[in-house]
Amino acid sequence: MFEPKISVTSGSFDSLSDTQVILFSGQLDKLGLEKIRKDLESMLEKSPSKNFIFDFAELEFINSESIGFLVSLRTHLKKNEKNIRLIHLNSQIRDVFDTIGLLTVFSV
Amino acid sequence: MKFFRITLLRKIFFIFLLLEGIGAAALFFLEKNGFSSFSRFHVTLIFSGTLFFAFVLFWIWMSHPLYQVLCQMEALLSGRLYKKIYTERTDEVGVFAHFFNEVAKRLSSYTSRLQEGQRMAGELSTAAEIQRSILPLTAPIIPGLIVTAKTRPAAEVGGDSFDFITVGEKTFFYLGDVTGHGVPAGLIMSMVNMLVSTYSEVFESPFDIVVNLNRQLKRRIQLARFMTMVMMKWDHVQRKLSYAGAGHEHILVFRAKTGTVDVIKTGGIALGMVSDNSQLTKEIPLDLAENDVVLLYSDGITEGKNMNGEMFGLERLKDSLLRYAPQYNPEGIAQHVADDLGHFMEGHQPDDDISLILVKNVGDLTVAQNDVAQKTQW
Repeated sequence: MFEPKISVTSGSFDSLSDTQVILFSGQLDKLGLEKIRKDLESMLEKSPSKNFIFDFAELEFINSESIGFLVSLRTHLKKNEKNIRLIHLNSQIRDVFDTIGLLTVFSV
Repeated sequence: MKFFRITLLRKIFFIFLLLEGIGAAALFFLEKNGFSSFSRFHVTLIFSGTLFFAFVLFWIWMSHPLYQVLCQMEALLSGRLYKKIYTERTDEVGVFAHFFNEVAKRLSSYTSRLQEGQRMAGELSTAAEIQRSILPLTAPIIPGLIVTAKTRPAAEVGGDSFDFITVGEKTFFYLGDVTGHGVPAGLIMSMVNMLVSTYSEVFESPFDIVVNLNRQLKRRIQLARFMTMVMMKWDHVQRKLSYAGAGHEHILVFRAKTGTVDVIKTGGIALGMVSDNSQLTKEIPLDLAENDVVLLYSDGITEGKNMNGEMFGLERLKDSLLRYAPQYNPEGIAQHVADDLGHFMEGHQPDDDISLILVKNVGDLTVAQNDVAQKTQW
């Protein structure tokens, strides 16, 4: 059993555009999701920003369950008039999003 | 007195001191007043009185408390009702009492957890049985095709599903994968299986099935859940294959003529994401020449990890198909792909359900398939 290699940290905040960057690093698989789920939710809850950018530059991998989680996050935030953008997806992650059909749904 | 309460040894020491004290006092008294002032009777009285007092202390401090602890221990060991021991003592007897309480508490907690676990395992096994009865136990015999379908859930109840439904001169078949696994995923996949069965009898095109499935699912499933799927249709008469995608993994096709493997994007969007997916998917024809083999898979296979955290991946799956398709029929290909995956994962347990469908165009041949080849449980 490996320790899940995943971390989610607050990045920069731009007050002009009211955008908070959140940095993802490691692998978002089943164990990884279990580890960061609550932290990410509370990070989003506590932040007063309206816009969030999920920076996936350091994210190596994402599985379908985690994608489902992102979708539910997006819907939840949308209800509170907040939105998410995903940036710096590597080719593997972009492929997965593309295959599932999510590039049309998420702003990437 | 606190000094003496701390251990039994100290208590015994106290009794000893007491005896010594009384003895010394008696001797002193005798010395002062002369031995003759005491009759035998008096000596005996004092002696037995002192001993009696010592025994009483011994009983109060050691024997009786130990006996109480032992009583409860005996009750526990023989399966009778036992009670928690209340004490404020901090000496050895106190330790015994607290130890007993702690052991009894943990035993009770483990027992109830074990019972809960057994009850849940019982429920899961029932759910798994229900699910097993929904998924086809054997791959069907379809005119012009040899078919193999294999699935293995990661947990008791899986999120992967597939089915083959022949209506008149066409056969619909699909491979679907609900996010996650376990009971919630299993419930969704059972629902979808039922719907596909119904829709196959009503619609001509896999496109319609996918659109209607999506509409039904979107209303009923939670936000974080969705289902990827590829819905295929084989026309017996025209010997043509077509498909409509719902965000599923790629379709691999082994081309017998060129000995190569095509990787085709399934297209579409996963079921349950948007309320209307009709603009995002369509029915696409898939050329399938004689001896060509179609491979459908769920991401449990490509995302299977080895001990280094490396994934099996699409390339390895493609290589496996390339290697085995020329030599084996679908059953053989499936077994060898499973072997490759097993070797790669080095005994590491899969996180996700794994499923595979292999379909080979055999032209006019009617090939009889054996029972073993047709079993779908991996």
